[in-house]
Amino acid sequence: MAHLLEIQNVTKVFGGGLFSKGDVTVAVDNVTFSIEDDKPTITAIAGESGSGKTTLALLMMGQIPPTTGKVLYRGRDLTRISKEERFQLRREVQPIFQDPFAAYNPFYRVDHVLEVPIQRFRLAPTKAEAQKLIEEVLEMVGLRPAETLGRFPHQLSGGQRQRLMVARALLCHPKIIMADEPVSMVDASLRATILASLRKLNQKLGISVMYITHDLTTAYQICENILIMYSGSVVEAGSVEQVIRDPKHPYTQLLILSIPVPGKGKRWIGEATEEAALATIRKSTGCKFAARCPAAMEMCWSQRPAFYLPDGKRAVACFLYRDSSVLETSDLSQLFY
Amino acid sequence: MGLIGESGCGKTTLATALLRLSRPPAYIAGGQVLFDGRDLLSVSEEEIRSLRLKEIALIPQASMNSLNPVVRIGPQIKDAIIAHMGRLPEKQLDEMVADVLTRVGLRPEVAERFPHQLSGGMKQRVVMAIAIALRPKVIIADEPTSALDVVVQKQVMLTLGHLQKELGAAVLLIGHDMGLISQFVDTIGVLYAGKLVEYGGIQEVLDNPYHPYTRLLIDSLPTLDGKKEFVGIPGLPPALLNLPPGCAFAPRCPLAFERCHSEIPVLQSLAGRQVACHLYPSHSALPPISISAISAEVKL
Repeated sequence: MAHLLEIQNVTKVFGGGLFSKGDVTVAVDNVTFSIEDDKPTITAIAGESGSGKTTLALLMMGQIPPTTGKVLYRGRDLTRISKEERFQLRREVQPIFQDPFAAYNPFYRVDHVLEVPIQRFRLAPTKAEAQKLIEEVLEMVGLRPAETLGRFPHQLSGGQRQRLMVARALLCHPKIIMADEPVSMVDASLRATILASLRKLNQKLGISVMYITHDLTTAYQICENILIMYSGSVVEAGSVEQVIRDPKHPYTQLLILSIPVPGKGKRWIGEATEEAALATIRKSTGCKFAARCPAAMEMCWSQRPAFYLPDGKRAVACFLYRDSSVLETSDLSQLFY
Repeated sequence: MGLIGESGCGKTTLATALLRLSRPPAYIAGGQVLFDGRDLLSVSEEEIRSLRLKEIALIPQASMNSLNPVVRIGPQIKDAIIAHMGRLPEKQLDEMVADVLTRVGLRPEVAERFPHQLSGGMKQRVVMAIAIALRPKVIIADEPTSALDVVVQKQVMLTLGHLQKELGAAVLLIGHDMGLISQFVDTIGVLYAGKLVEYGGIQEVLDNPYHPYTRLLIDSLPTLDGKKEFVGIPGLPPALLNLPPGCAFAPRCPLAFERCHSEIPVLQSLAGRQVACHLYPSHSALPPISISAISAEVKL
């Protein structure tokens, strides 16, 4: 099994420098994960904002260096790869960014965002071919070339900008697409089209997709596997059938409960507003979720739970399952094969 | 009331038009906006300025980005109050700020912070705090939870619901997420290509949509009930500059017939529901629609 991309015990810490008054943020805390070359998967990384999922994606793409740990591309440490290898990495691992307002340079027309990758990665030999490629990818995401090309970003709606980002990623025929909330600002009907395209890319072209989101419903529909992140650590991992339909970690259970479901008897309006856990005085040096956890026990505050396997190939980092066997390897992707 | 529609269908345009905040070259071509019997489109500029925020508040889309990054939260809230009520004593302003922050579930200390020190959900609640500072009668919330994660989304929506009850204000909630909107609203309007195509009580519309577009919108909601093929609405929303003759939805409608392509349907009232569709009133309900799973052809 050739590892295409691998992160080993990667931790990313922000702050802690000379001028930051000792405020450190551990954005990603000791995560190990890999993506195989020959087994394309669609994996979700889910968690609330601040959980570290975007930072994890940036680490995997080689956009930011880890504080500790290693990121390997085709077995080679990213800090040591040659310029050609880095070029290949950039082409093979394509991002789709989250914020359709910020991802564009407002001075350029949107064509620029499609033309630059074509030039840089030499995707089309002639201008005519390039134009054809551009129109193809636009149509794949439901955009009309006549209405999109030649415009400035502010002249398109948020949904259109986001779809354009997806089109851009499709240009390069990558091996891995790191999609950070690719459909969050797109409407339900178009969401289905874009997600279906991502799934088709995976099935037909063998592209692995890392789908970063807080929307568990679409994650369930498109992904096979999922990692749930909380405060920089993975708290639960496994197939979407197990993790989402039968969540075991108290945090996963909270996430599922927060999903708005249309229909009678499922309204959560009227419940008491839950105060955010700003006020908790007790700091946990153990499980990060202890302060918000309805099931927290004394040990949770001082010890970090390992990954337990209460039922088959699903790992839960929670002492509620301490009687189950422990996951041998630290590489969570081993659960998925 | 909820207003739902695809991106580009005119939801934000409508929201800004209600308060006469349309940016040129957009202009209001006709109609009325009746507030307490007064037509807002014909009152003086001075009068509409005093009404904005004080009587009708707008929480714009991505409003977290509209906070001034170099000013602390407290002065930004005070700014809004001073604009309408004049320069009140500092102590009173401080109290009002603390009060309004508490009402949106934030601690008063947040007034000392800068926007970048707050999370997305907190910023959104600050903007809501500004919106309710003067106890308006109407709150227009344009996609108040887009880009917020599902846990914070719930908190923000519960806050909005709580505020609405407390103020006795009417809320116009604009968005594209039927799941979220249906949790909150009593009635819903469905917008397509700038026109209202259906309007009714939320439960009735969910259980029994009249307009084919509404039906497809509801069907395209992903659920946790089991994996299935993605169901979308085939085709694209029409270019507003180049609308087809007849019903704007006809090119995409699985139930379209000849009349649909030549005559624009009028909004009609049918037993507590309003719908703009040629199927009615000759039909009493939507005929069954069979939508096959969409197959996104990957042309590579």
